[in-house]
Amino acid sequence: MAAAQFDLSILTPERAVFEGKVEYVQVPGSEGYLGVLAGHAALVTELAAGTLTVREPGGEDRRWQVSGGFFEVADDRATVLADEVSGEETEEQG
Amino acid sequence: MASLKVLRRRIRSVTSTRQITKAMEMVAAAKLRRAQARALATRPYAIRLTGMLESLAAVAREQELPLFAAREVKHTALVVIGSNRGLCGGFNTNLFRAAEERLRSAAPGSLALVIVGRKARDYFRRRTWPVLVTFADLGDDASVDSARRVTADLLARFESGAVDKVEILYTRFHSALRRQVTFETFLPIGAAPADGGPEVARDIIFEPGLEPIFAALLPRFASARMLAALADSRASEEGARMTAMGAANKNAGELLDLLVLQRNRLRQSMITREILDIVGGAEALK
Repeated sequence: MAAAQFDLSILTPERAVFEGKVEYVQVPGSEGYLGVLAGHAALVTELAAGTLTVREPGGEDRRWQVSGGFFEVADDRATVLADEVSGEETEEQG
Repeated sequence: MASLKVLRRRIRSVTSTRQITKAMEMVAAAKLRRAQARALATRPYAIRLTGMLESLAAVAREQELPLFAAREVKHTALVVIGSNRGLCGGFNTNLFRAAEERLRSAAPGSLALVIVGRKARDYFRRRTWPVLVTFADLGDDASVDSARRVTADLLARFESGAVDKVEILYTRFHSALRRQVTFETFLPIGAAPADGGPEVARDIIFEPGLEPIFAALLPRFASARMLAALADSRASEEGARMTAMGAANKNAGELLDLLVLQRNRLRQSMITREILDIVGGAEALK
């Protein structure tokens, strides 16, 4: 069964870390971790330092460490505006 | 006319100069590409952040947020973003000319400088304009850390009331061949969209709340703008250096052609004279 998808961007001041369709994202909100699926209500939250988890359609979970920033959801578009992102995965930017 | 020896020496020196300017041109081209990529990579974040700020601004305008509020301007800080290294044509010269113009137009004592870049430091050290702070050790790439450092300093001055307005002067990057000395108001952030801007009436959940989010958002917005200015300035600098070195390279080539021509003429005339001497001597022996 394929879960509904939505767009996610993970951006830092220096570069775009991730851009694409996801099924689920979990972010370290300042009030605690929160998970977002497609169709979530509009939301703006501050981020604390913690782990960012992203589930791509049919794929494995991908994880990054973020040091703080913001998370925004509006109209099935989610954006992570992180101060810094690190993790085992770093996508090369052309 | 110069002697053959002098000509040869000059040819050698111009040849090696040309090699250097050629190498510098190519290095600048490579660095320009990198600086340009960095400048571009900062845009998505800045655009999203600006979007977020605008959509929240209307709500926040009712509250008194110091970073937003324009107040009576008694003291202004002018941030001048120059380069760390020279040999980049008119890059710094144009910038400093604009800065001097701004400084002279201000009432005495109302405008002080914040200096970024070693060349800017060197220039203003020999002048008498008041300087608040100098950042001459920010490293060669425009980095988030540099932007945060400069921004933190400016925000502290602004919030404490030491300055009421911050302006930035930097070289905006358009393309490798086109750049422009640009003057912008950095603080207060201001210019919130007028009523009827992006609708904020829709129900947005704020965690932990609108105010803390706003308080966290504004410094990051300022910092992102500073990073954009630093990155643009770096790309412009390499563009200017590439152009300057290209021109130097061309001039060296022209000079070299001229010198080689002169040398050949001189050599030719010396050979002719020697032949005439020999022929003359042979004639005399007959």
